[in-house]
Amino acid sequence: MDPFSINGGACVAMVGKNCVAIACDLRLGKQTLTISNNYPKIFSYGDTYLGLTGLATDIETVSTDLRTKVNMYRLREERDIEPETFTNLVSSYLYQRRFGPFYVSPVVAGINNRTGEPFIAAFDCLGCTDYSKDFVVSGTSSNQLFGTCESLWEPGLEPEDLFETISQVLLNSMDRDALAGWGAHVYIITKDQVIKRLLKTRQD
Amino acid sequence: MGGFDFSNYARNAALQKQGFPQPQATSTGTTIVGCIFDGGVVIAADTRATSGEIVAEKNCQKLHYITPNIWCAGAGTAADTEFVTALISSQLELHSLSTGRKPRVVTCMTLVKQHLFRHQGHLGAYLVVAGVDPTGINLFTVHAHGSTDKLPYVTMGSGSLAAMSIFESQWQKNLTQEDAVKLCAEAILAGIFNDLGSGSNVNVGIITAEKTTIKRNFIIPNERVPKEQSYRFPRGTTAILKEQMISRAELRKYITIVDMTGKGTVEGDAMEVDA
Amino acid sequence: MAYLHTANIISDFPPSHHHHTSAGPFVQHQITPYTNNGGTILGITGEDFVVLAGDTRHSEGYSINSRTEKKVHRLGKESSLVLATVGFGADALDVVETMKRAVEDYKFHHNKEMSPPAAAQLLMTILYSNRFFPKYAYCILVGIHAGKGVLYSYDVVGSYSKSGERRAAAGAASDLIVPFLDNQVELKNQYVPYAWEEEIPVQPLPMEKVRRLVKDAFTSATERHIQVGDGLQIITVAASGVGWGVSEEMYELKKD
Repeated sequence: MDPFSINGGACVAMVGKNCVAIACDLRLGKQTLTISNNYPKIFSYGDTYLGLTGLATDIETVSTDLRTKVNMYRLREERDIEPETFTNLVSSYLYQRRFGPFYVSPVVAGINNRTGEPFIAAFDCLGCTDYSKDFVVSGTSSNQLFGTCESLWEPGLEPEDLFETISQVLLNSMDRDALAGWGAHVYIITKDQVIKRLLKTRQD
Repeated sequence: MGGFDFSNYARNAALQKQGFPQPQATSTGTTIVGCIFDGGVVIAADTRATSGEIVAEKNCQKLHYITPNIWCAGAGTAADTEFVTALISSQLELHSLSTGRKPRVVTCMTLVKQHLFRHQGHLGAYLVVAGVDPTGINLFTVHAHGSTDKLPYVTMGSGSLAAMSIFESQWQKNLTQEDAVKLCAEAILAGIFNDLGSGSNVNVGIITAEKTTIKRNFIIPNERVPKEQSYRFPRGTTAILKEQMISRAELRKYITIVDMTGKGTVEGDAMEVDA
Repeated sequence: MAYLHTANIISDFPPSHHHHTSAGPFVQHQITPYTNNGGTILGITGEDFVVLAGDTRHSEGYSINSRTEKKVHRLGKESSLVLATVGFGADALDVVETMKRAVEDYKFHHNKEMSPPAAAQLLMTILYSNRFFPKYAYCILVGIHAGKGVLYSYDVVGSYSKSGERRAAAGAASDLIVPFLDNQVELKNQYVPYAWEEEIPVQPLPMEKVRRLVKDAFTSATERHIQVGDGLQIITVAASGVGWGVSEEMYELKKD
């Protein structure tokens, strides 16, 4: 079994009109056995959000290591980290472990505080950054997510429409993946507020 | 330099020994080419990045900045091409500052090959190095193990054979800039259409003694046709169990940081010391 | 390959016995009986019709063998049966040829067309008869039965559902297409707006809507899967009166 699919999980981020959304499932498994249905994979670093799928032990190590780094950045700079800067931080942090990588596939979503521009990015476990203007996906359901995103997403969605699209994309993708599901969190991020929602999902 | 952290290496090697396969990195199963002409050099690349059979990115940039007059086209493990070029770019900048001279393409090529040879092929970077410096026009390829070539026209990546078929049938001596660009674009198109690892658009870089021009999406031969219908959902289609709203003003009641250079007040966020 | 290589003559020559493992001095030769030729097929039923589609790219590794190889086949000139196969090209075609012959034989013997449920059972028998050296072919079989569109889908050893299915996808990009179909054909995870106990009822789709879904499913798969592209073949079988009509449409897909 591949380290990326021992614990299972799915994460997706999308760009809308002056907004971004990021969503994840809540399952934590040990191969096919489900251990927990309350294991969120999205972490906030100020206004920037990070989704992590892959090996659960590495999700925890990476998310806390980055928490330390972002807090140190705040102390030095006396300002919040922007999504673009955070993306470079994640990338170089992962590449430092080029020959002993963390088994994680990170996704970043946020709005640039200065320009108000929506921003999303994804990485492979070595830190190669995939900048995208539409959507990014990660996790054991990544194939399903690519298929549904490519079909259902369209440009210029308002926050509430973006919520429906990202939710339907995640829900239908994880229902076709035995290693993901069991609840979902969705964050809709706009310039002046963040809405976090818990979705009603299948419990099998 | 290098400065890699091997602390996960033993754990990962143990996992691999137990039969866990190694992770799949994003690779640029790519077509990249380069060609010299009278007065400069052209490099070009497609824009598809793949992870196995899946297209990870449709419009990525495979032409990497080294110095204003030296650029690299990269194939292989995407993270390695990205970081190797960034590292060499930084070293050349410092070298140029300490010598007070314009960086040379051979210097760049030598730094790259020594770095790659030192890592014994474990860094999967396959590069076309091109540039114009005080010694003249230069074009090289560097393979992951550190071997190099110096040729008037070069191709690399999974689409290298398709691209080379264009060069071998159409290349001639003393090309004009216009013809060299055309030839390189044609070679990339051959890769895009005949190699499954390559696709989407053509990016071109033209380097002469006077200036460098990078033309992103020089040719866009693969635009998606409009969808048959919209799949926008009526609001309220998705069932919600719980909802939490956080306004930014709420988040910022703990710290306010004023950025004096910006236009007006930029407020900071609540400092999170714990998730 | 990627670097200049000189064979190490000292260690490679003369060949020593420890090169042969437990098999002793005998060298075991092998052939690879299967290759993956990529491609995707997709079928959706309506009330009184059924649509079966496939892309026309035939590939091996990173190379394209053909941009015009059709995957959807009628099983007889007078028959409503249509079979699409994907997987290993040679096996996929062999299954189609075997089925075509069986359908023809059936007509000669019984002087009537083979019914879709009978063809479905026969296909299962053919696939299962190769249980220990399977034909590497994923099949979707459709036809008109009692004025209704019917669809059956199979795994490589012949497992299928006798009652048929509303829709199916198989092949390289089936992972990408199936959840889209769940959502748009079966309306999974969609509720009546703000009435979150009440799911949107599933109704048979009109033919035009089905064709639109098929095209969008394939253009999306083409964007994200390297083995899907070049052309799209859509065969529609529609019940009309006591008989049926079969039509074929071809569309262009991206060629990169």
